[in-house]
Formats: sequence, C-alpha cells, structure tokens
Amino acid sequence: MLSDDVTKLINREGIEATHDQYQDMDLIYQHLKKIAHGQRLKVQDAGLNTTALVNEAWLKSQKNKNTFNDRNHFFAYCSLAMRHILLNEAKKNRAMTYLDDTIVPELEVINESDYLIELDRCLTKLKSYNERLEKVFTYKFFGDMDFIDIADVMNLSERTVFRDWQKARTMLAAAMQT
Amino acid sequence: MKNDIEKLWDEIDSSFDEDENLDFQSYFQSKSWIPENSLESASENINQLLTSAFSGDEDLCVSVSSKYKIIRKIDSGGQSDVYLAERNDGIYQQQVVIKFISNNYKSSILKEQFLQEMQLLADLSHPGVVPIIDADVTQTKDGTEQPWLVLEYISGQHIDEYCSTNKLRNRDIAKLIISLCDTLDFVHQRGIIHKDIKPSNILIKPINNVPYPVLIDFGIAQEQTDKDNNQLIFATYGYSSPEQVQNNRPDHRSDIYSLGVVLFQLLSGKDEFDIKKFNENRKQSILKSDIPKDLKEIVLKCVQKNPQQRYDSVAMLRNDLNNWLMDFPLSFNNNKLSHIFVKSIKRNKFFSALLAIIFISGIYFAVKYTSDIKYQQSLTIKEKNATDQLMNFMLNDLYENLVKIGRVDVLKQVVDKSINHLNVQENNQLSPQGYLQSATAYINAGRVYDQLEQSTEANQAFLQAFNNLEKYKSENTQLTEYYNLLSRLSVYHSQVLSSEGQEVKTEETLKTAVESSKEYLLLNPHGDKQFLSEAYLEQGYYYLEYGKPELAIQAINNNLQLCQQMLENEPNSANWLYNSSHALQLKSWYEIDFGSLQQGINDLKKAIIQGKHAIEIDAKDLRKMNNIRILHNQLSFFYLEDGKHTEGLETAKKALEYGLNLESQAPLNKEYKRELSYTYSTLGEIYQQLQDSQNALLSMEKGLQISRENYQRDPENFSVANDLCIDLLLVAEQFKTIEQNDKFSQLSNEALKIIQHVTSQEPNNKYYRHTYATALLMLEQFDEARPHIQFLNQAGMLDETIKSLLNEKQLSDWLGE
Repeated sequence: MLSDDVTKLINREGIEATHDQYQDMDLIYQHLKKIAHGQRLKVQDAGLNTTALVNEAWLKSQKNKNTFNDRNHFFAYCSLAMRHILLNEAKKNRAMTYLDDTIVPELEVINESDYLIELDRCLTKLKSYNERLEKVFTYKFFGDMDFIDIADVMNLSERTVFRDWQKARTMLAAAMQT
Repeated sequence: MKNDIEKLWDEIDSSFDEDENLDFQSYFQSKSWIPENSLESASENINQLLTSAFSGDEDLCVSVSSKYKIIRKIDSGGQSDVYLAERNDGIYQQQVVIKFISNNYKSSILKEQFLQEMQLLADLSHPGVVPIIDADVTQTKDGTEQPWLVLEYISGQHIDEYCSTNKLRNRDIAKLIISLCDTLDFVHQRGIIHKDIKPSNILIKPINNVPYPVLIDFGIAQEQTDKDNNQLIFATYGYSSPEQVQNNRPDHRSDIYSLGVVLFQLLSGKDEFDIKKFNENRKQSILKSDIPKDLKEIVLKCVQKNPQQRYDSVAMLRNDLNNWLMDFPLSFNNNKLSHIFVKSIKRNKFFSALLAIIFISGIYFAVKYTSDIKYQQSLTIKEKNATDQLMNFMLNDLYENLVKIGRVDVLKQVVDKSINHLNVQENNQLSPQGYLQSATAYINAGRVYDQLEQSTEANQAFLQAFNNLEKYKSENTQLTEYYNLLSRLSVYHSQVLSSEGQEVKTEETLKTAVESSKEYLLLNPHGDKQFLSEAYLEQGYYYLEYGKPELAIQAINNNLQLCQQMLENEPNSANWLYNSSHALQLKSWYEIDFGSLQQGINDLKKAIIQGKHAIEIDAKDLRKMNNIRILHNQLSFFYLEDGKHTEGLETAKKALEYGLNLESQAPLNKEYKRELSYTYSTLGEIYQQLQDSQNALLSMEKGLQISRENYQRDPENFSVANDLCIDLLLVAEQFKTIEQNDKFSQLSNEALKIIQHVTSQEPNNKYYRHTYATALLMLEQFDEARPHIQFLNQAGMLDETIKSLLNEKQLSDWLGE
C-alpha cells in the first residue's frame, strides 16, 4: 500500500511532501475515508475522531499484511496525511465562500477552516524556528499519537516529547493570539 | 532581526526550560491570558471540519454557495488553486473548473482590470479556446481581494499524452499544431497573448469526431500582478521565451516560441522533464533529434532567441507547416536552391529527371560563377555559350514552373549571379549566337527582377538585352530570332516602364513590341502569337491610362480578335482562354471610363467564365488563380460603382477567399500581396457604403498595412506609391467619419506628401492626378486642387469620388468648368 520511503519521509521531510509521497497520502486518504464512513454509521452524532480512524486503518492494514511493519511509523505517517487532508478541505471550504457574494456563511465548519489555515501558517513558521517542536505537535494534534509512540518514532525520551508538546501548543496558541 | 513572534517564542522557550512543571494552562494563567483554543487535537478542536472532510458532506456545499459545488482539487501551484466543480443552481448540470488566482489584489483599479480582461477572454468565442463562464473578485475576511474565474470543464487528454498514447505520426502532429495556429491567430488578432503555452494547457477534445486542441489557462491575468509586485515572474521554465523569463514585455512572438517548443516536444517524443533542460541547449537538442529536416528548421525558426528572427505571426508558422505537409518549400528557405529542387522533385515525379539535371548543373553553375573574375574573362566563347545556355534554361524554363507556384523569389540568387557574369563578359567580342544568348539571359534576368518588383535592376537588364540584340542585328541578316526576342523584350520592358510612369518611353516600346511581333510572324507564320497578344494588351492599358480612348479600344479589339481566332482553332487552350479573359478584363476598364458600366460588368462576367475554364484545364497554375482573383476584385469594384453593394460584398468576399488561398500557397509573392490589399480596400469601401463602419475600418486598415509594406520595399514604383496613397486616404476618411480627426489629418497629410512627389515626376498620368486632387480636396487646399480638377475633367476622370467631395465642399460649380 505504501512505499518504503515513507519512514524516511517522516523522519526527514516533514509535511512538505513530493508528488509521489502525495500520492501515497492520497491512498491513505481513500483508506481513511472508507473507514470513516463505517465509523460514522456507528457513532452518529458524536462525530469522528482521529484515534479511532487511524487505529482502524492500522488494524485493517495488518489484516491485509501488505503495509508497514512498524505501527508507530504508520501512525506518524497518518498524522502527516491528516494534516494535508484537513488543510486541503479547509482551503476548499474557504474557496467556496469566495464564489457567492450573496451568502455570508456563519457556519462552524467555515470558522474551523479559517482557524486551521491560520494554524498551518503558524506551524510552518514554527518549523523554521524549531523543527522538532513542529513535528511533535503534528503527530500529537493531527494523529492523536501517544507520547511514548512519538518518542519511539523520533528517537527521543517520552519526557522530552511531553515537554515539547506543551511548549509547541503554548507557542502556537500565543502566536495565534497576536 | 527576530520578529515579534520569534521573540515571544524565545521567551516561552526559556520559561519552559526554567520551570519543569510549567504547562500550557499554567503559562497562560501566569500571563492572565485565556487562549482562544485549547489546541488539544484535531478531533476536539476542528471536529466539524474533520467530519466534513471524511464524510463528503454535500449539504455543506449547498449551504455555502448556491452557485457551485466543489468536487475536488485538480491542481495547485504557486499561481493558483484549481478545482473541479459542478453548477449548483439547479438549472442544468455542467461540470466546471474554478480557478482561484493567488495574489493580493489590493486596489480597486486592479479589480477593474481583472474584470476587463476576463471580459476580453469571455468575448473570445472560438472552438479552440475554453469558454469563460463566470469571474469575479471577492473581498475576503482579512481584507485582501481574491480573483477567481469559472471555465467550462474540458474532458480530454493533454496534447502530449494524446500524441504518445495514439502514437501520432508527424503529419498528424503538424495538423494539430496547424489547428492551434488557427486558434492563436484568432486570439492574437484580438490583441491577446496566451503567455503560458505548454502541453498541460492544451487539451484535445473531439469536435465532430475530429480531435481538436483547446487552449486553457490563459496567463492574461497574471501579468497584472507581476507589474504590481514586480518579483513575480510569470513563466514556465522550458516553454517560456527568453524575454518572458527575463521579465521583458512579451508579445505574440513569445507564444510562437512556446508553440515551437511544444511542437518539438511532440515530434521528438521528449517528456516535460527533458524540456525543462531545453533552454540551455536549444539548438543542439533540435539538431540532434531525429525529426525531419524541414520540421527541425520550422522549430528552430520558432525558438530563435531574438523575437525578430522568429516567425512574424502564427499565420506564417501555419503556412510553413502546411508547406511541409504539401511538400512545398518553406517560406524562409527561399535562397537555398538545392532545397527547392529536392522539394520539387518530391512533389512532382514527372519533372524529377529534368530537375535533377538542373540541380546538378546548378551546383556547377554556382561554383563557376563565384570563381574569380579574371578566370571568367578568359573563358572561351564556347564555354561562355554553354554557360549562358544553362543559365537561360534555368531562368526561363524554371521560371515558367516557379511562376506557376508563385515562387519566382527563389531565383533571386541565380539572377544576381548571372547578371554579374554577363557584366564581366561585356567587353568581350562575341559571336552572333553569343549576342543572342546574352540578350536572352538579360531578358530572363529582367523578368525575374520585375517579378520581384525591383524595377531599377529590371530596367538595366532590359537595356543591356537591347544593346546585345542591336549588336546581333548589326552582324546578321537572318532576323527571325531577332524580332522574336525584340517583341518579348519590348513587352516585358514596357511593363516596367509603365509601372515607373515613363510615359513616352512606354509608348515607343509598345509600338516596337507590336511591330516586331508582326515582323516575326511574317518571317515565321506558325510562330507563337503570345507576344503579339501581350503587346496589344499592354498597349490597351497604356492608352487607357494616358487618356487616349480611341487608340485604347483599337488595341483592345485587335487583341480580342486575335484571341478569338486562336480559340476557334483550339477551344481548350488554357493559355488562350487566359489571354482572352485578360483582353475582356481590359475592355471592361475601357467601358467604365469611356463606355457603359453595365457593359463593363458583362465583360467581366464573361472574363471570369473563361478564366475559370482555364483553371479547370491547368489547375496547378497559381497565375490563373490570381487572374480569377483579380477579376473578382475588379467586378466587386464595378458593383460598388454601380451602387450594387450586396453583389459587391459577395464578390469581394470571394476575391478575399481566393486571395487568402493564394497567400497561403505563396506567402512571399509581392504581386499577390498587392492584389490582396486591393481586395481589402474595396471590401472596406463596400462596408462603408453599407454603413458598417467597424468592418470598413478593419478591412481598410488591413489593406493599408499591405500597401505600406509594398511601398517600403519598392519606393520608386509609382504605381505602388499611388496604391498606398489611395489606401491612406480611404482610411483617413473612415477615421473622419468616426471623428478621430488627428488620425485623419495624419494619414491624409502622409498621402499628400507621397502623391505630390509622384505627380511632380509624372504630371500627365491621370490616375496619379486623381489621387492628388482627392488628397488636396480632403485637406481643403482648394486653390491647389482646382487646376487638377480641370485636368481631370478634360480627361473624363471626374468620378463619383471627386464629385461627391466637390459637393461636400460646396464647389460643385467647378464641375461646369
């Protein structure tokens, strides 16, 4: 399902994927979407959550025995894919508001879209300030990964990851406040 | 310098490092801030977005926009985000492409400009251009402006994919590019440049089951942002022209460059990646590729670094691709003789053996003629004769074939060399046969020069021919050949003299032509009567031009009689049908000046029937097609004079059709160009009469443009100068009717200056005087105009143009003088 280079991607490339990697993400996206559909039928009003999505994706990929042999790397990869997917969706939502002057949408999903686009902008800035913080945040926020799993993927101690997460959240929240 | 955010981050960083227990909440508490968002996880903080992303919730689209429903993202790049969408208005189902152009339009002027340009594109209705459905600029929440446009969705492959999956042959690729040229020509003529031609912007769409390339994604809007930001260069590396990459102002030739690159990519089967490296080693990559040689040259011509060395227009590129498809020589290869011969051989198997001989001897000829002069002077008479014979063979027989395809221009090199050669021989004592051959060579050379509209050189060549003939006569008593050549020479020479407005000399030369033809036919009763017919014809023209109607009609009738005699013997002779249609054409001119217009129209109709018959017999002769075009030109003009505008318009449109066809087959032929400009002028006048001032100005300006080019090339040719003046005055008048007075006075003064010079050289030519008087009247220089009006009155040249001008200026009492 995914190329062998994905592990490398997670450790080195960050969120800016190349064309091929983007295609891999597309695969993951389709995969996640299928799962999401099933979950939605199950959970109804509560909405989706990423943990459940990614977990189920992992279980299915294990059943098919044709994907990552490392669960944590798979999760990390899914976090990146999730960030991409959500950003694209947010841009699309915002674009729609441009097309029609007559409707001024006060929809929550549009507000969330604007919020995510701004968050992504700050995250990109954070990457050039401190790449490690940006990565930890991405894995945690978009992939809902446990600290210990992030620590494993990034070859850090769990405590460091926890401190990084607190720092990054604070920094981003502060940046978005200004 | 750190910015504010980084300073804040530095501070947070050290606070966390200093206090092991500090966390998100406690930090903000210590600062007495309440963060807007807890930033826990995507599931918590942006759950609706998450849900909509994965559920494909279509209700959302409906609640956000009532116009469009976005389906998916197609493309995103530095310049724009592109989405596939569907109309959401419930009226009808249509897939569309929505493009959001990334930039920051800040001023309302730019918004206006963007919308204007979108309107321009929306007005381009052509099957090869993707239609624009909607466009606007939206004010966003953060105060910037977001331009977007909605285009029809074209479902089709990109041109490069299409060519490779279908394994297209070079011929089919050329045909696709020809269609693209048509589209671009249409676009360029409206002053629009695409600016981003590359395979991913050309989709192949089947129109009536024929694959047709459609241009998408014009770079038009981007340029405006470049000017604003200055750091944005709109270019695609590999495809964009050097001037575009350097951010110089691109023009339509930048599109020709890009189209050349695309053509090369498709022919060579290279991919986009190779093309990205193309700029570095343009010429080498093309030469090394295994595409046919002529196509290589076409590509090279497109991708010249200097825009001036590229094709002037996509129409020229189109012509050459068409030339290649039909095995005609390319437009810019006109001095490479070998090339032409190979082409001719390929095209016409019948001539191949003959042409092969010419080709081989042509090399011999060229080498011999470029060697040094001393050697040439020492050539024996025998060698000289052999060379002259060869040269005459080339200049005469080849001339006849080349004139049929309108490509006499290829002989320019040969003729220059042969004149050099003949001049070197000048002082040598020759045998009678030698003089005869030199005369023939000079005649042939003069004729080529005349065809190339180089009248000075033509005149000189004819004078030399005459000198050689006289030398022959002084040493010979057998004069059949002498008279034959003299009649040919005189006919050709008179044509040059009359175009230069040499009144007396033309008349004398024409008398010589008629008399020597008769002498020749006395000595050789079965000889060719072609030159007698041409002599009568020229005589008729001459007497008409200089206002001698009795002599004119006499010459015309002599000619008609001769043609009729010949056609009685040979009713299907293409040449005599052609001659006869010429004779009738001239008679119609006589009728319009001195007889009845209706009779003139009838003569022309008869001439057209004969001309068409001649083409049916000899379809490959472009001269005969040109004849039909000229006849249509003239007939439309006659209809105009007769006030029959509908018939006139129809006829002029036919003439234009013939003219454009001729131009595409022989784009460098100057005579054809000149006739085409007549067509445009007449068409303009007819539109004027039909009160369609927009089309009138459009046609007249096209005519004027051609006349200007012709004049610049041959400023000493009075007839060409007169044409230019007429067109200038026409366009000037048209500008006056739409109240652009500065344009009017600029153009009419330009005309006045030129025609003043011409009439001062040739005061008795009534046509030039007519133009002069018109210019003076238009510029209200009445005192200067008066003597010319009197002259024209006596010459029977007071036509509707002058009469209505006099009426308009309230000078109709002059008519009685």
